[in-house]
Parts: sequence; structure tokens; C-alpha cells
Amino acid sequence: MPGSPTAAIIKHVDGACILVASELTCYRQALAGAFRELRPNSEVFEAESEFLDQAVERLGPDLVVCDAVSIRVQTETPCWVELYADHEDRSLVSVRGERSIIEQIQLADLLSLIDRSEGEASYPVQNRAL
Amino acid sequence: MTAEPDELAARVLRHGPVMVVCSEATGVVRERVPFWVELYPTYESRSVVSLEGKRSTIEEIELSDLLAVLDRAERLAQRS
Repeated sequence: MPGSPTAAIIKHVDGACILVASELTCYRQALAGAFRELRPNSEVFEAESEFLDQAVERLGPDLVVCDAVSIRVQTETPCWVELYADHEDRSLVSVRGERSIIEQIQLADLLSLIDRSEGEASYPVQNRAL
Repeated sequence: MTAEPDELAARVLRHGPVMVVCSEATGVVRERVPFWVELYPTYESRSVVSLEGKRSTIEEIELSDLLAVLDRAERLAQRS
């Protein structure tokens, strides 16, 4: 409609919807930037930790990478990573409810999870709260 | 290049970087590296930046701050 103030941008995204949530801004931005650069088909969002649940509700991400996983993330997100839990080398990973611990997680591990999460969106979430 | 914290000093002595981003700036870093950033040393929002010996503390440092330091470090490297 001519003169309409409303505009819509429709973007086709082939890859995963990824949410990066960390209270440490620089880490969050660096991780999100790396994901955008190395997995350009994915859609990458950032959120501060305190707004994690709201972002999950709004975006319905396929993968969440965060400092501290919440109940909502555990129950509503197919894949998630809790990076450096308790500031140690250990990170907790969940892929469709199957959990594992990775010591000294690397960027390559996260990219692998992005690749896996692209195929997970159509599956129901089977995660349980800790 | 990247390095584990326990090999940071040796790497600095071997490669002589113009800039280091680390979780804890060691004595070697403080003495030998013109530009360094101590990123979240206590896992809190505070970071320390040193620009040719001039130190400052930044709360909520952002990626753009690191890139700005990198730009300055590159200019220094080009001059020398």
C-alpha cells in the first residue's frame, strides 16, 4: 500500500536459529560474530543472561549457548550448551535430551553442535529439567 | 595465535606480540607487550586495558573496544 509506514523484511534462513546468552558482553559478541562468520546460513541472536528466558520464548531457538542454563532452556530448546559451568573448564551439552560433559570445549565443538542442531528443529524436545 | 594461560609468558618471549588478550596479565605481558587486555580477570564485568603503558579499567567491555585496541596495535606494528 503506497505511503504505508509498515514494512516487512522476510529473510529465508536455511540454518539453525542460535541464541547466545552471556553476561560477559565481549565473549557473547565474539561468539556470535564467529557463528555468523563461520555458519552464515544460521540466524544468530544475542541476549544478556537475565533476558535468556524471554529470548527463548520469543525466538524458539534450535540451539542456546549460555553461561547458566535455565529450566525453560532445558525444557524448550532441542540443543543447548552451558559454557564453563562454575567458571571451570567443564561445559555441559544437551542434544535432544542426551547430555554430555566436554572438558576444554573448543569453537569447533560449538560449530559441530550448530551443524547437528540444524537437523534437530523438527524433533520434539525431550529434555528434562535438572 | 592462541595460548593456554600457563604457556603465555613463553609465547610472549618467543613471538613478541604487539597485543595480547588474556584472562590474567602476567609480569612478562605487563613488561613486554605494548597493548594488552586483561579480559574479565575475576569473571566479572571489569576488564583492564593497557595502551603503551597507560592503563584503564573498562566496565562491560565490548568487542568493538577490543577491535579499537587492535587497530592501535596494528598502527604501532606498521610504524616499527
